Amino acid sequence: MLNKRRKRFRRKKVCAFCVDNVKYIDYKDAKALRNFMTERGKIIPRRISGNCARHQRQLTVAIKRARNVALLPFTAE
Amino acid sequence: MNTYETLFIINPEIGDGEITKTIDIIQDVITSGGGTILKVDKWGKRQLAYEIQKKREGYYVLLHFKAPTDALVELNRRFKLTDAILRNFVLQLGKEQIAELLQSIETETENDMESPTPEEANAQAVDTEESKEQKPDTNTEDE
Repeated sequence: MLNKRRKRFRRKKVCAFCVDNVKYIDYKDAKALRNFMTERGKIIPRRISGNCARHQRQLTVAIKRARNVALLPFTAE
Repeated sequence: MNTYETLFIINPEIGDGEITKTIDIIQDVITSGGGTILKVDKWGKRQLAYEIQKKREGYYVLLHFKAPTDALVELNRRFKLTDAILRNFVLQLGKEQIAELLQSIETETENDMESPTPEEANAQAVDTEESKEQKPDTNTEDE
């Protein structure tokens, strides 16, 4: 399936939140948010994760909230 | 009256008694300001993602409540004044989140009523186990 969609070494990326029909990204669910961060604690950009604009916006807000309450790190030590 | 949720971190080194006292004080601040507590969720001790005031662990409490805006001013003041509270975060909930919250409260109260004694819960668990065992048996018979 994925091979068919591949074109010039690119494969179609789909927003992980749209697939699950997520309406609200919860800042308290640190485990889920971790999937969208690098090992160093940076937020993975949209062009890599493939998230849609709306969900990426909600995601960054959620991650930043989680950082403030020490559920997620600002940086890796 | 808006519905809010607040997550705050208490210094775990002050002892269990002091922790419950701090939680009670915060709840009092909300109720005396004309608000009502909807749900108290004590996450307990958790590791912090980074050090806060040289501490690696914190006692997390998640509180859902309804309150008039005046009560929030007082609540924020108390959060700042209380040394035992390392971090606090207050968030106003949207419509969908409120609906979700009310649903979770409802199911919780139902569960409390349904499973009062551990003996009954055990009996139920045995029942489900038996039913699971029976299923594969019937399958083999079919074959």
